[in-house]
Amino acid sequence: MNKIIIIGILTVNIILQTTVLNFVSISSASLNTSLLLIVAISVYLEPKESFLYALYTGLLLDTVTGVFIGLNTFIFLLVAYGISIIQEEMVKESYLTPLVLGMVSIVLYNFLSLFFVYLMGYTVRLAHYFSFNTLIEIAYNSVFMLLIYTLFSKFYNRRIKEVKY
Amino acid sequence: MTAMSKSLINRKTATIITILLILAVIFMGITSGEREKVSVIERWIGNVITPIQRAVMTPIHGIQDRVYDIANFAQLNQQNQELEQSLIEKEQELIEARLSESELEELRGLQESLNFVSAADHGEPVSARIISKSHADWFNVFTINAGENHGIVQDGVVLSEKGLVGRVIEVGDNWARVMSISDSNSSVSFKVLRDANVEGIVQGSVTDSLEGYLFDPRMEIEIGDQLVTSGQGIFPEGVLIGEVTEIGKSSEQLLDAVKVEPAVDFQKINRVLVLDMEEDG
Repeated sequence: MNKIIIIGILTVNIILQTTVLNFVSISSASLNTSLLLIVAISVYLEPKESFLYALYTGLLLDTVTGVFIGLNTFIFLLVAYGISIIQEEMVKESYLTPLVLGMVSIVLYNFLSLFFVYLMGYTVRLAHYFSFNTLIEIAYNSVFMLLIYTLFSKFYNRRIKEVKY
Repeated sequence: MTAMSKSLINRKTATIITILLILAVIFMGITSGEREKVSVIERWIGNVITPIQRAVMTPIHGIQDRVYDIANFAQLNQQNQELEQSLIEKEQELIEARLSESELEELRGLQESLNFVSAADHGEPVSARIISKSHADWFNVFTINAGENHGIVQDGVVLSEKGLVGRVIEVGDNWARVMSISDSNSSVSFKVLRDANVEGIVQGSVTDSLEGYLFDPRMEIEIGDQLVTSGQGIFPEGVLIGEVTEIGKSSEQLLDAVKVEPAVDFQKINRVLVLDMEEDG
């Protein structure tokens, strides 16, 4: 049941991210809620489960919006794997955790996207990605990460309680 | 669980992840670049997702339209529309007046849709709405709610009432993906409306403006010059691209570099028109 709900959340999120959320971009900095959700999921769920969600979300997002398939899948899987390694050492209750994870994951996402877009032979303008706009994007996504992380932790804790009783 | 069995599981997981990451890179390689057709799976997923995106966007488009209407009403909408119409007509008159006589022959009947493109050069224009956009700004790509079933073809030319928007890069049954001319990977050859001998090429940039250069550095271009498509490549001749806002030397210091403000506002665009330039009308 949990799995179906999470798959549903991830699917609805992709639809919202590619439609409605385009209207709430600050400057041209947009929200990458799929990545933020994968981060939250990877912190709380079992590694194998979070890899599957990362794979599903990445493939779906690549298919729906990507110019080529595999970019989001690669990054989401890598993020999920990275978090799974440090999962046990994390202080999940701290507000710093989602903030730092949000920032690092967005920076990693931008860096790897830039790398692969360049590697696949597309034109990239480096100057833009080291601009003020990138800082806005990191800050915007990090703040949103707090919200998503808090909501997901509440959802996760409620589910755990339901399973216990 | 012993430390050894835990380590074995970790190693197994790392191996699976590594394989998946390699597969993702292989997929990127296979699917990057121009593809003749999208895969069956992509088509199927697109067919499922795009109606939902369309349903989500319908009320948003409705709200947008209402807000737009109210805003315009407050600012004497009627007067604005008349002025805008008059401006489009004047621009068109200017285009017709400045293009040579032989070019005018070719461009006869431009009054259809945007009054820019010859009806004899393309099939029935298909109007569509934008239903989703790529979330990242690596590409300026958006999805429209019309596809193969509506007569959209790959490399179809996408226009708005203001001018050139882009071209179709992928087509599904009821959806298509459009790369705008403001994408870094788009390039359009142009000529200056004031003097059709001045030709060059503009490319998208990471901002919404376009950047380009003149083929012949001896030719003169001025700030405020309007650029139209030259007809080379897939774009038809005479479609308004935008206005020159900056002139300078390119990095090689040999060619005149230009910065162009596109005629189309890519942030606000909602409706587009798609033409199949390969079909004989």
